[in-house]
Amino acid sequence: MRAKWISMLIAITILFQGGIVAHGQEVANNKSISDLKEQIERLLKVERDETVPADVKSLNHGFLEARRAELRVLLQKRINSLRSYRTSVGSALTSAEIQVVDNSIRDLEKDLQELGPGAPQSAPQTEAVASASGASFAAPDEDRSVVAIASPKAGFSGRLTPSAQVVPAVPAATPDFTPKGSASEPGSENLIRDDVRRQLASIEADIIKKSRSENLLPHQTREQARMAAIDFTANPQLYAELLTNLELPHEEFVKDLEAARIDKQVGGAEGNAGSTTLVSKGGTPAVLGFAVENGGLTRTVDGTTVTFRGNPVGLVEAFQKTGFIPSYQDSKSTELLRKLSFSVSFDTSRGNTPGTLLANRQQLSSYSFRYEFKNDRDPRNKKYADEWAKLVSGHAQQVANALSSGLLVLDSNPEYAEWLRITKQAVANASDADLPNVLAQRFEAFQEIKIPPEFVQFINSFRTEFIAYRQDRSKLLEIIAKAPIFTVEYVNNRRPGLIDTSTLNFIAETGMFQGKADLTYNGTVTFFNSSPGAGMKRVRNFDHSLRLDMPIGDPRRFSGILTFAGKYKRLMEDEMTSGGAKMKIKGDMATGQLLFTIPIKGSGFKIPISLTFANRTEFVKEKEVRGNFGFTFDLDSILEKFKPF
Amino acid sequence: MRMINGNPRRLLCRPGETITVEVTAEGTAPNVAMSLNGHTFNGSNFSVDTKTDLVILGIFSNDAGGGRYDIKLSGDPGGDDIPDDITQGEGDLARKEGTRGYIFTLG
Repeated sequence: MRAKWISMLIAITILFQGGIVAHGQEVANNKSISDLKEQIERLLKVERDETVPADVKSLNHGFLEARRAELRVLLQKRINSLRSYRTSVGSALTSAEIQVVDNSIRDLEKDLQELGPGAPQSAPQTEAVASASGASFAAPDEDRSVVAIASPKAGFSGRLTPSAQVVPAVPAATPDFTPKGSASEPGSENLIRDDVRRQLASIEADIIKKSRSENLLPHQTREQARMAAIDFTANPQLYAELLTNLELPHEEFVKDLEAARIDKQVGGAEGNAGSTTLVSKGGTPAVLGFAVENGGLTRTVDGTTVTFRGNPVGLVEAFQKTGFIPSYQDSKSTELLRKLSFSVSFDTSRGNTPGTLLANRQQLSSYSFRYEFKNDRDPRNKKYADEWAKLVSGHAQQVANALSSGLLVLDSNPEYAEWLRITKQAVANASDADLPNVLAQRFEAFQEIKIPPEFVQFINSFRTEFIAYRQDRSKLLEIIAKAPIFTVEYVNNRRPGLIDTSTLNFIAETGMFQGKADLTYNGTVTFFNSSPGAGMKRVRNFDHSLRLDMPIGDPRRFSGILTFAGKYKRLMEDEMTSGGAKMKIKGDMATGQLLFTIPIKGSGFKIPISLTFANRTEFVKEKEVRGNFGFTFDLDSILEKFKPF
Repeated sequence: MRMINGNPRRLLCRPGETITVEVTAEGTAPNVAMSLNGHTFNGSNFSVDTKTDLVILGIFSNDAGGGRYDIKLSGDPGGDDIPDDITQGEGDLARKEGTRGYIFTLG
C-alpha cells in the first residue's frame, strides 16, 4: 500500500514536472520569438542605413539571416504545437476556443510568410523526421492541404518513421496501376484501370506544362510549379473513381465514352473510282481531310482515288496561326463562310504514270463545293446555351460545392496530408520521363489511405451529385448528337471519253436511337454538262439513298462504325462516248452496301472496308459484288492534338 | 494577395481584401460553376476575411477536347495577379473530362 502511494506520488510529480516544463517551453518560445523579432528589427535598421560601411553591412546581413532562420524554426515549432493541440483536443473545445487557436496559428503563419522562403527544402524534412519522436509534423510549404498535422494519437505517428519520410524512389519498371475494390462485371477492372491511367496522364500533362520555364509564374521555381500542379481534387472524375473504389456503377463510365463523331464526310463521292462511299455524309472537316480509297462502287472502274476535302476559312486561319479551336468564335460573315467547303479528287489510274498521285489536271476526277445550311451538332451552338446553363446551376454547382466541403474533411485527415506531402515532393523531384511511374505509384498508395467515417458520408454525397451531373451532361450531348444536318453539294465529275456531268446532292442527316446512330438521306440529280445527243435529255440520273451509321464495340479496346447503306438510281438516258458510240445504260439500278470503318486510335486515320451488292453497274447490266477498302484522314484530329498553329 | 511558396492556388490576402475573379472560355461553351466555402458563388468578386476556399469548376462542352478556361484572380493593387488555366485533355484524354476544376485557398 505504501509502495502504491509512493508510485502515485512519483507519477503525479512527473506529470506536474512535464506540465511545468511544457508550459515553460511555451513561454520560452514566446519570449524567444518576440526577442528575435526585436533583434531582427534592429539588424534591419542597420541593413537599411546607407551610411553604414559595406563590410559592416555584410557582417550585419549574416547575423540578420541567422536570426531569421532561428525565427523560422521557432515559428514553425509553435505552429506545429498549436496544430497538434488542436487535433488532439479539438473535440473538447468550443467553437470560440477553436477560433482562438486558429487565429493564433494564422498569425504565426503570417509571420512565417513575411519572413519569406529562406529555409531550404531539407529543413521541413528534418522537422518531419523529428516528429516521429513525438513532435508534430511540419509540412514542406504552406500548402493548406499539406499542413494538416498528424498527432501520435491519430494513429499516424507509427508510420512516421524516418524511412517513411524518404520520398519514394522511382521504380525501375512502370507500375501497373491497380484500382482497389471488387469488380461487378468481367473486364471492368481493365476499364477502370484504363480510365484512371487516362486521368493520371491528364494530370501528368498538366504538371509538365505548368512547370515549363516559359509557363512559370514570377518568382516561382520549377519544383514549386510542379508541387502546385499536383492538385488531386482538380479532377473530379479521378476523385470519384479512386475515392469510391469502384463503387460507381460501371455503366456510368462506359456510357460516358465518346462515340466517334460519325457525321463527317472525308472520302470522295460515290462516282469516283475506288470510292467506299455510297451515301455522302453531311459534315465536313473543319480544316482539311483526305481519303485514299481503292476499288469501285457504282461503276466497273477499278482504281485509287485520293480526295482532299477541306474548309477554306479553316485552312486560312490555320496558316494565319490564329489557332484551330478559337476559330469557332466567329464574326457573322466568317460563320457563314465556314459552312462552305470544297473537295478535289484525283484518280491515280489516269495520266501517263498510272498508280502515282500527280494531282494534275489529267488525274482530276471530280471537284465539289458544299454548303451546310444547317448543322446543330456543335455543342457550342448558341441554341444550347440555356441547356448548359441549367446543367451548371444544377448538379455541376452541387459538385463544386461538394468539392469544397470535401476538402475540409480531407484536410483534417493526417494520412491524406502525409500522402499529399510525399506525392508533391516526389512529383517535384521526378524527371518528366519518370513522372508517369511516380504518379501511378503514388495513386496506388492513395488507395491505402483509411477513409474516416465522416468522409464516407461525403463520398456518398459527392458520388450522387457527380453521377447526376454526368447523366445530365450525357443527356445534353445526346440531344446535340441527334441534331439535324442539312447540306447541299455540287459535284463536277470529269469523265475521260464521256460527257462530264454535274451532280446536285441534297444531304439530310439526323440522329437516331438517342444519338447512338446516324441516319443520312441523299437525294441526287445528275446532269450532262453538254447536250448528250439528239433526242436525249440533259438529266442523266436521279438517286435516292439512305445510310445508317452505328458505332459498335468498346472504344477502349476495339471499335468501329458499322454502316448499312442502300441506293436506288434511275438512269434516265443512255450514254454517248466521245467517239459517238451509244452505250445502253438506261434503266434502274439498286445497290446495297455493308461498310465497316475502323478508326486508328488517336491518329485521325480511319480505314473503311466495304462490301457492295448491286443488280448491275452503270455500264454493265450484270449483278456485281465488290469489295473496297481505303483509308481516310481527318486533319482536325491532329490539329487538336498537336496544335501546330 | 500573394502566392504562398510559389503556389498560385494558395494565396495570402490582407484582411478584407477584395478578390476579383475573371474566367474566359476558349474552345468550349462557357460554363463555369463556382463555390465559395461550400456555397454557390455567382459573382465576380468577394472579400477575404477568414480562410476562404474558392472552387472554380470548368465544364467542357466538347468531348473531342481542345477546351480551355483561363482564370485570373486579382486583389488589391500591389499584390500578385494570379493567372491559371483549366485545360481539357486532348483526344483520348478529353473523353472522360467532362469537367475539371481547381480549388484556390485564400486567407
